[in-house]
Amino acid sequence: MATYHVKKTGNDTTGDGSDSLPWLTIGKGVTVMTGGDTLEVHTGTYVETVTCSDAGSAGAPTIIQAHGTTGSYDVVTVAPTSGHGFYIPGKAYVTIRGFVVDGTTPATGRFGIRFDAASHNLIVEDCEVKNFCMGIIGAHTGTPKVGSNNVTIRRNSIHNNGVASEGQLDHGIYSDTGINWTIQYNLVYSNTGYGIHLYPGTTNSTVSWNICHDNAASDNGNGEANILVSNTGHTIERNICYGIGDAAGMGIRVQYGDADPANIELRHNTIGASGTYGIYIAAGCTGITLKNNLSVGSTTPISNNAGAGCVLTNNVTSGTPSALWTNSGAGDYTLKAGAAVLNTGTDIGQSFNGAAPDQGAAEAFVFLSASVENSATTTLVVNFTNNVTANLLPASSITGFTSKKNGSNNVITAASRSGNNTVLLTLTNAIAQGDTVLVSYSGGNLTDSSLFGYTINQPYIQTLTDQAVTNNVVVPDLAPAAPTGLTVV
Amino acid sequence: MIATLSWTANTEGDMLKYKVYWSYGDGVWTGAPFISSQDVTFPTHTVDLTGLPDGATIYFAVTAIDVALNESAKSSSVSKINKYIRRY
Repeated sequence: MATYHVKKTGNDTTGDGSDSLPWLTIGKGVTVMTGGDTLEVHTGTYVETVTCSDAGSAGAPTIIQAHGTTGSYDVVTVAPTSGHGFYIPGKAYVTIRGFVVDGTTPATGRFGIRFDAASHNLIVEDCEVKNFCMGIIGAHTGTPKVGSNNVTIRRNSIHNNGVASEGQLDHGIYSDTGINWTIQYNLVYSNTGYGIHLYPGTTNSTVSWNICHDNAASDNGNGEANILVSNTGHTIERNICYGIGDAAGMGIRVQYGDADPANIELRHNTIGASGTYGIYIAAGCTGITLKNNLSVGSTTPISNNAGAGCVLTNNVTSGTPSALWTNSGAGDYTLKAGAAVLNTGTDIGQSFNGAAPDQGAAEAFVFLSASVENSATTTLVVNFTNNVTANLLPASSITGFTSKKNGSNNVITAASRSGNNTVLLTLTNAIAQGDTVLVSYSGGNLTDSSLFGYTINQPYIQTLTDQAVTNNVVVPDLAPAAPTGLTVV
Repeated sequence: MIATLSWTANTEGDMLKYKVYWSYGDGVWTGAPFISSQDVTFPTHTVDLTGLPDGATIYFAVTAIDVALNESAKSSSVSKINKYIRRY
């Protein structure tokens, strides 16, 4: 499992793939590397199609990545003038990570990242894929069809793909046939066809925590959607969809197929204005469930044409966007203080904060308690309940908190996170045992780490005004010191 | 035998008393050869002990006890040897 390097200063003839003697092209690297190796590509634009011809194995994938790690990759652009960006012809255990894949001008048959049939256990993460016919596609062959299984696509930005004249045929993410696709935390927008399109041969997949907006950018009246699913066994949850280029378009569409869709669960999705239908369930579907979805602003927020084949549980279809969402006009569909959907959902067995789940994709975190730190009376501890996402943000330099002692401002000199869901405030003036201080929060930067589309976090929206905190720390009654100076006569 | 012990007064605000221990063994304050103990009410920090056995080395230590009956560690020990006094 070797690691090789490609740099714009490298040389395919004299290089050996080491960090000090790198190759010049990614193409050279993939011809030398073997299964389980890693190829790290350094800063620059590479005008070539990358064909991965070496499968990895379980626990030792073949990795082709931009140099760096999540959040700090070199800017590495793969920009072929013809052909695909990345091509994986039936290979398994391959990871592509951290690239900008730019087709410059979408053209028929050119795909940003293409998996051919019988590829499996693939990961595409932290990439930007744009200006191709389709962004990421899992193709198929044969009858019956063979596609790609166990595919993870996460934290990517996939946009502006599609040939305008092909409209509904070109999508951001497309799986024709496959099992177990996991599509999470992606930002998918302004593609000419569907944003995410799981075609009839795709089953048992999860689409969650994505933001899909303004797809169907080439309006053609075909009822395109930001997310389309078909077949069976899918979970579609906590996605945010809004905007659609097709006036007859939809936010999430359950339809299509060689057979009618079945056993698909849509839960906790937020759908803003999305053309004709917010959520559309086609006739003939069976075993479809809609739970705690929030769809407001489309002509018909939820359209169930499957009758008893679709069971709806506590979904919201009315409300005022400006009262629900932080700034929906700017694409911020996180929940706003006072939103009518706070704690009004049905408990469907998932974690939530407060008395009941919020409806829609976001789950606002709530104040839990405040106390004085035992060991330091200048430290105020503020705890939140945040059961859905891992931790609060930011880790330090948290703003928005103020405190008062005896009516005067007790200046906070530092505010940082401790653990996942606790904020520690360092006060200028100590809080003696039995004293009470007041703590407030307003207009600060505290959010959870929900990462819808890898871009948006739910802010803290609960009212916290002059929350009284008394130092009730009981000082342990320590034994006296041992006497000294004992003498005897 | 008579022994007079004194020590530096404690300064804690919740002092209740002291306890003086004496023993035939240095550092042995429970069980044999421990002999006995006696309370001294705070703030007194001296005591005369009488009726101690003659003819042996006796070791002494003192502890401080607060109103919650928290007892301190033993002070450093001191000792006194009383020779046997022939009475005839």
